[in-house]
Amino acid sequence: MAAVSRRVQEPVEVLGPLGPCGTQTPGAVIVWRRRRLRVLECLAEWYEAGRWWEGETERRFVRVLTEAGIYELSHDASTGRWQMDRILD
Amino acid sequence: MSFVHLHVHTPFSFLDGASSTEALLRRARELGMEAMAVTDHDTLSGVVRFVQQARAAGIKPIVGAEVTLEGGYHLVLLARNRTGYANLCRILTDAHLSAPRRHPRARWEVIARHADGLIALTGCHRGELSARLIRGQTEQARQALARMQEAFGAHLFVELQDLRWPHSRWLVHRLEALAREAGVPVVATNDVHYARKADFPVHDVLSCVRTRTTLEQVHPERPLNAEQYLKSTQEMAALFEGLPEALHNTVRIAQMCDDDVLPLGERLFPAYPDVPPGMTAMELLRRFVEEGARARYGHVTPAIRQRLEHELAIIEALGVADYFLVARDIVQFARSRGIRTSGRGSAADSAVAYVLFLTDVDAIGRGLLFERFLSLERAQKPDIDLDFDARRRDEVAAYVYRRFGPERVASVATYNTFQARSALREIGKALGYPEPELDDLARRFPHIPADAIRRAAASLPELRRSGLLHPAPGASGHRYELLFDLAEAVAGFPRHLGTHLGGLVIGDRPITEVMPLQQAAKGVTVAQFDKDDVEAMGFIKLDLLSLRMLGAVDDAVRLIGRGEGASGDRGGGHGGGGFSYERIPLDDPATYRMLGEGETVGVFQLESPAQRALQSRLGPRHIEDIVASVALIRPGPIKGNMVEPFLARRKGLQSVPPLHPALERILKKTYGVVLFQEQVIEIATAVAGFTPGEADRLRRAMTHFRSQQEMESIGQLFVERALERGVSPELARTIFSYIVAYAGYGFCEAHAAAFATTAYKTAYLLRHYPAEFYAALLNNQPMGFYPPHTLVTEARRRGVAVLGPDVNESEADYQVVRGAGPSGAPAIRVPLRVLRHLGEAGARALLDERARAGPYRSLEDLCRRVPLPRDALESLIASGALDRLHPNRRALLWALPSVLQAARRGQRAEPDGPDAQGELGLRGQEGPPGGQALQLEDFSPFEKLVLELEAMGFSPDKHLLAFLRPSLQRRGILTTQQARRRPRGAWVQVAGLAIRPHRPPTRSGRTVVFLTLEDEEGLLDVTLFEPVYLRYGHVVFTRPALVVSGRLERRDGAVSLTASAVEALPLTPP
Repeated sequence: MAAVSRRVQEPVEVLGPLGPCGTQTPGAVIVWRRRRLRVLECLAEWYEAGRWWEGETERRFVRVLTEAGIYELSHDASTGRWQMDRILD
Repeated sequence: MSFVHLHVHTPFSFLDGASSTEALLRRARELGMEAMAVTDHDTLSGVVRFVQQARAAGIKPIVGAEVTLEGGYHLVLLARNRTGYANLCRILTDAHLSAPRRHPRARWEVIARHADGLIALTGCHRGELSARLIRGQTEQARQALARMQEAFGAHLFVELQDLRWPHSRWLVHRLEALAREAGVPVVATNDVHYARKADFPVHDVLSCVRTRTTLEQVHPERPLNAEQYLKSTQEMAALFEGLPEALHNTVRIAQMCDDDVLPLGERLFPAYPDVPPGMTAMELLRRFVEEGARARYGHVTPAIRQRLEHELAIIEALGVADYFLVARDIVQFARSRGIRTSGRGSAADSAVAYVLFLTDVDAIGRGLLFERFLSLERAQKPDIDLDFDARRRDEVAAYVYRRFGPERVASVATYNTFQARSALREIGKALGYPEPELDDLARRFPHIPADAIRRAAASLPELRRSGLLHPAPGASGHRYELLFDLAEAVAGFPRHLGTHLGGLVIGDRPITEVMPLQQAAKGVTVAQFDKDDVEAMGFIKLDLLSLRMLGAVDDAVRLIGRGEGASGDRGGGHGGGGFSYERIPLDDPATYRMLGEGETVGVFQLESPAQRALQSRLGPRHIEDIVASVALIRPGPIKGNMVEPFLARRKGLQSVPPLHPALERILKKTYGVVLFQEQVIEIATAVAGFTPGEADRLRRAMTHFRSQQEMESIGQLFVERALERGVSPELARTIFSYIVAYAGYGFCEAHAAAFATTAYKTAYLLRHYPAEFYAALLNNQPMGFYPPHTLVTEARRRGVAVLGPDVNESEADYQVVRGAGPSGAPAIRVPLRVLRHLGEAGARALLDERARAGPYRSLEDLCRRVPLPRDALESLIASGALDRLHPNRRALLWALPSVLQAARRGQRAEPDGPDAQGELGLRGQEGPPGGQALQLEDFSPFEKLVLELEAMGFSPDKHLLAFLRPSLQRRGILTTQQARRRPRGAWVQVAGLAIRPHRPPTRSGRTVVFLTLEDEEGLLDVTLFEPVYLRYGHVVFTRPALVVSGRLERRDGAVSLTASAVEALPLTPP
C-alpha cells in the first residue's frame, strides 16, 4: 500500500541529534507549528545536491518516525536551518 | 584499516566519468592508496593508459569493467590474471558484437564459460541483486546469487554501496544478509565517478548530456548527490562501521589480482603466411630485396648492396622481417588491382622499403638516414604508412581481412574528445541554452581545446566584440560563466569511440584475446584501443590511408589518356607510348616556371597562400627545392625561423658560416640550415661520434622535451664526445647550439621527399593538362585547401571554360570536352551528381535512362521517364541543366508542377512530337494557362547566378563579384588582378569572397591572419597583422565577402595585400 504524502516546506526547529539512520534517537524533538514531536526512530537518511547551478548547497534529508506520524525533514548545512518537507500519512 | 577502490569510472565510461584517469590516480595517491581498479562501462578503452599511469604513480592497477548484462543489470568483473583479462576481452567483444550498436549486452552463458581468472562483484544499485531486492523479489535475488556463485565460485563478492541515497542503508543490510545466507563474502565500493566531491557538477551535467536532458529536467539516471567521489579510507570506514570485512575484502581482492594482467609489450605481429617451406621470413625478404633492387636500380653497385645489407641486418636483429613482407604483400595486391599507392613518412628513409616498392623515394640516392626509421638502439617498432587512392582504400583493407583472417585483423580506434566547440554545444544544451544561441557562440570559437575557451574568449576579437560576453545586468560575469567552467572541465574527455582513418592491426592470435572489439559506424569492427594503446600492447600498426590526391591523379591520367591525340602535344612526358604519370620528367622548365610564379592552386602540398608565396620567392629549379618547400611551410620551421635564412642563403644574400667540414657536407642541400630531422642525426654522428641510435635519441629528446636541464645534459655529452674526436670545445658548443636552435622544429626529410614527388607531378599536370587536372580535382572533392568554387574560378582564369551541367551531355563525373573551350581548348563539363537534392542516385537514374532510350527531349519527357522528386527537378532547372531543352528557366520552374502532375498520372500533358520541347506541357491543371509561360521573362543573369549557387555551390561561368563590379568600380575598389599590377607599397582597396581565413602559428607567437580574396579575375592573398585582426577579426571570421584596404606587398615576386582596414561587402543584387 502506497503511502500518501503532503508537501509542506516550512521552517522547523530540531532539538537534539537526528540520525544516523536505523538508530533510536532518544531525546530528539521536532518543534513544528508550536507542537513538540518526539522522535522515536530515524527511518532513512540521504543527501541531495539540489539546484547547484543556482547556488543551492547540498541538503541532508531524514525520514523520522514520531509519536504523531512519519515526517521528512531536510537540513541546510550552510545555514544550519531545518525544514519540514513532507508528511507521510 | 586499509581500503582499495574497486569500482571506479573514468571518462572512458563515455559521459559517465567526470575526472581524468590522472586526476583519479593523483587523488588516490594523496589518500595513500596502494591500489585502484578501473571499471568503465562495457569497455577496456581506458585501461592501457590507466596501467601505465598507475605504475608511474606507484599504484597497483587493477583492470576491470562494469559489464551490462541482458536485462540491463550491471556486473563488475576484475581480471585476476592474464587468463581473466583475455576472458574479459572475449566477454566484452561478444557483448558488443551480439547486440545492437551502442547497446552492448553481455550474455550470461558467455560469462559463465569465460569466468576463469575473473573476480565478480555483484554491481551497483543496477546490479541484479540490488535491483531485485529493491523490487521486493528476494527469491529471484537469491537465485541470481546462486547463479553467480556457480560461475565464479570463491571469486564472487556481494558489492555493498552506501551512496547516501534514501534506501542505501536498507539495501546494504539486505544484501549483507543475503550474502551471509549464501556464504558469499561482501565487499564495499563507492561506485566512483569523479575524484573529489567538488567535481560533482561535471558528473551531473555529463549525465544530462548522456540522457539528453537539461539540468531542469528529472531523469532516473541523474546522480542524486555528490557522494560518488574517491573517498578516503576513513570515510569508507565510517560508512561501513559495522562491516569491517567489507573493507578488508577490498584489500584481499587487490592482492588476488596480478600486477601484470595486461600483456604490454609482447610480440603480437603474425608470421608472414607464405614463407616457402625450408625458408625463413628473413631469407624470403632478402630474395624480394634482391629482385627489387635489380628492378629499381638495374645494376646493384657495392654501395647499394652495402646499404641494403645494413638495413637488412637491423631488420633481422629487430625481428621485423614479417612486417616488411606483410606490407609488401598488401602493396603488391594494390598494384595488381591498379590501385594507386605510395608510401609516406619515415619509411621513405629505408632503401629496403624503396626496393620493395613500398615507397617511391630513393633513400640511397638522396642519402637518407635509415636510423631515422629504425635503429637497433631505439628498437622501436617500424611504422609504414601507405597511401591509397581514397576511393579504393577499402578494397585494400578488405583484402587484409581476407588474407590474414577476419578474427586476426581489426581497425584501430580513435577517441573523439571534447573540444571547445563540441563542449560548448553539448554542455550548453544541458544547461538549457537555445541551440541557435549555442551555435552562434560555438562558431565564433576556432578549433581549439576546450580548456582554452576562457583564454580565447578574452583574446579573440570575434568573441570580445560580439557583445555575447558582456556582463549580465547586476551580475559579476557574463551569462556563460558556468558554461565555460564546465566546458573547460571536460576538455579532452573522450566523447565517443571512432575509427582511425587508416590504422589496422594484424595479430598472431585472435584479436579478442588481447583487446575487445566493438562495432563502429558503417558496420566496421573496431578495437577498443587507439593507436598508442595497440602499440603499447605489442601490435605493429599498419596505416592504410586514403589520399584523395591519388584518386585525382588517377582521374587526371585517365582523362588525359582519353584525350591523347585529340589535343596535340601539350607537354612532355609522353614520348611515343602516350602519357605516363610515372615517366613525367622531373626537370620540366615550364612546370618550374609556373611554380616560381606561385600559380599553384590545386597542386598537392603547394597550394596554400604561404606555399604560393614561398614558391614565388624561392623560384624552384629542381626537385630538391620542392622537397625543401614541403618541409619549410610547417609550424616547426616557421616558428624556428628557418624560412628566411633558407631563402637568403639560397639566393647568396647570406653566407653559410664554415663551421666544420662535416656540416658543410650534411647541410649542403639546405644551404646550411638544419631543416631535416635526419640532418640532426647525421651531425651528431659525424661531429660527436654518436651512434645513429644515440643521435636519434638526441633528436627525439630535442623534439619532445624542452627541459633546460635535459638539454644541458645532452649538450654536455655532445661536447665531451666531440672533444674526443678532436673538435675544439668552443666549436663543439657552437655546433651544438646550432642544432639546438633548429632540431626541435625539423621535419622528416623522407616524408618531405615522398610528398615532393607527388607535389611536382601534380604541378606538371596542372601546367600541361589544366582541364584534366582541375576536372580530376573537382571529381575528388572534398580535398585540398580550396573549395570547388575557387577551383572553378582558377580554371576559368587559366582559360579552361567550365560548361554548366546539361541533362543530355553531362556524365557521372566531371569530364573534359575537347574543343569546347575558347580557341578550341578543352573545357570542363559539370556532372549532374553535384546538384543539390539530385545527388548520386538521381544523377545515376538520369544517366541510365539516357543510355537506355536516348536524349531527353523536354521537361515533360524527362519527368515521364525518370521519377525524380520535385526539389531535384527544381535543382536541375536552376542549375541550367535543362537550358538546352528550354532556354527560359523561370518558365520551366513555373510549368514544373503541372508537368509533374501529368507525368505522375501517366498522362501526356502535350502530345509527343518534334516540337514538344517548345510546348512545356502547359495544359496541366496546376500550371499557367497554355502559352503564357513562354512569355514569362526569364531570370536576370544575377538571379541565375543565385540559383546556380544554390543548386551547385558555384556558377560555371559567372562570378558574384562581376555583378557587383560597377558599384565597386565607382568606389575605386580594384579587382584582384588590377591590384596585383600596382607597385609595391601602393594603397589599394580590393573586394572578394573571403576564402579560408586562418591563423597559423607564427614565430613571434602573435596572431597573424591569412585569407585569400576571390573575385571574377582570380585570387589575392591578404595578411592581417595582430592590431588589424584585433580590430576587424569579428568581420573577417563571420562574413562571406569583404572589402579590404591596405598596402600592396611585393616580395621577390610574391604579391599580397597587408590589410589596414576590413569591411563586410554586402551581397545585394545590382
